[in-house]
Amino acid sequence: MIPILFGVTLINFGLMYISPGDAAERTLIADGARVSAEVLEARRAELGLNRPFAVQYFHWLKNLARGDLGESYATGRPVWAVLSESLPNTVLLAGSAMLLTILISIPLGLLAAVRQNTAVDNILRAGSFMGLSMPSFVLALVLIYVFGLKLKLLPVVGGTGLKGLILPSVTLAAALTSGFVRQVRAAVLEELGRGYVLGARARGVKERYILYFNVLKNALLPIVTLIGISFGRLLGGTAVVEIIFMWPGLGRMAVEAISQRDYPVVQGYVMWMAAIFVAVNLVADISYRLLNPRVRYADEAA
Amino acid sequence: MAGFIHNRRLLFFAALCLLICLAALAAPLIAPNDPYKTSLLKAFLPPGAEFPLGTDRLGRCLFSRIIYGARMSVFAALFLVGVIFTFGTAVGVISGYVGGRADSFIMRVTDIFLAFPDLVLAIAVAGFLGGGLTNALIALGCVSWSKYARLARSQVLALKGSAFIEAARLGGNSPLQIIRRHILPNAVGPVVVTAALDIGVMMMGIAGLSFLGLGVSPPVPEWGSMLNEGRMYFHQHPAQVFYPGAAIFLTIIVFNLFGDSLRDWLDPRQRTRAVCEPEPLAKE
Repeated sequence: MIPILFGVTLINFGLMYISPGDAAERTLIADGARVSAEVLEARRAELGLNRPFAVQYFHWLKNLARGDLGESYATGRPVWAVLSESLPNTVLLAGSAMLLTILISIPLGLLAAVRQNTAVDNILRAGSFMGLSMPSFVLALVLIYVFGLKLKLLPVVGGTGLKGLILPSVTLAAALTSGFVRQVRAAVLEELGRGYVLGARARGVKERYILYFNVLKNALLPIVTLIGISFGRLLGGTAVVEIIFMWPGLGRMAVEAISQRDYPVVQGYVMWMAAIFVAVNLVADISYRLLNPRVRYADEAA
Repeated sequence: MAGFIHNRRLLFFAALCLLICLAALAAPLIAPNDPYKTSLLKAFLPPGAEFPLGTDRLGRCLFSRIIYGARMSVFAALFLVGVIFTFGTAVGVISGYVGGRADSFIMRVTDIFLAFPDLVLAIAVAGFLGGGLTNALIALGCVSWSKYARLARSQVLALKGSAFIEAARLGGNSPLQIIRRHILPNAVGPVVVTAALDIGVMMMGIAGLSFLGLGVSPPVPEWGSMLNEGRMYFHQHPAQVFYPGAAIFLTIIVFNLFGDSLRDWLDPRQRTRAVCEPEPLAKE
């Protein structure tokens, strides 16, 4: 995990290093002044930009370790302050999309598995296929058209309240749900084929009991890992939806920072997202171990 | 190859994909108008004889722009998948075959690339290096090659201990010959399936980056950037968004159905696996 994050910092800093223009130019131009070559050179020396790559990198890494990501070129505010302002909104959006996905996909996946190869199963399969083929920005615009412009039920854009949260969450949840339904279906089918199900049926245990208390419990194990990984991806994949719905989150902030060439903010965003992603994956991994006695005992025995 | 001809479903979708590619290639023949020709007097015209789907805010023919836009989406995605497939498979096969320290090092590198959520690395590359189709392709390529490397490596590891590889080695074949004649043909199936299913994902990625203004830049016709331009006038002119949106959706569906049938044909056991859903991080 530490080497991974170390590599992430190297890529992140390296990209910034090879990007056209540098901090001296950016900050001076942001001040609106016409700059001469001497002033630029002096600023470079002041910021340490004329030192070798390795020296700059370790300097940056040292600051990073203290949580100092530098200052925004555009506003001069510390990057962590800019980031921590938008993070809660993105977490809220991703969290509600995840919740929606779990609430919809587990019952539907179970239904598809129990009714395998019936009309219900086929409809769900076709639906999830379409959901996976629909880019989020197309779906978002369709939802805005139907619910915002035609039915006038929900605000078209903006609004951080509950009503403003609905459409972006649904957009994000749609693609995710499509994938999840398939995974839940596959996991349930796998469990249904196991010997203990046959044994329980033979002993006359009620089908409903087997399904809810044995099969679902076991089938949800792989889904826990999937939820963890998907949540990490979701946090990093909200940019498009945030921009369409004017949701003040991290992704929108990052894309705006790109258009202003505000590199420290972009760099901070990438660093945070990678760290969160790795951390979420780790938590998913640990919870899988805690929930699954087979893995737990194998670990303890080793 | 005989099975390919007899698999009607696969053949049908392969033909549809080919048709889309041909339409994109033949864009100058099909398109009734110049996709770049602006005329403010003809802005937002309804569909008619001159403009089959009407015009956009600058009076450009929507239909022609969509046909030309297919070139970007389809060929850029095919090119990208071709490159990451070749590169990722090569890295994975070498890593798996050579083993040892080189293998652990390469796997560490793929771990690092897998530590970025897809769009974040793409935003980083496009953000630091600037927009444009080339950078968008680099961004998407950086994100996706490691998946192929891991898959190819696991295939090679499964094959490496088999008796026929041992026999080939004893027969005096060089490592390169063994990889080319014996390992590649047996390892490549699942990787090809992944590549076929990735075409739609890459189309979505390219259109998404263009939509964010980080991919193909206007005035070049591209579906994602057409949607971005059109959404400002969405309220009065929903057609601006619906036609390019439908073009992306239908094209991705066709390519995904092709990938799905290809998987069913090559690997019937994996029917239940999700399309497009990125592989969960490989665990070792």
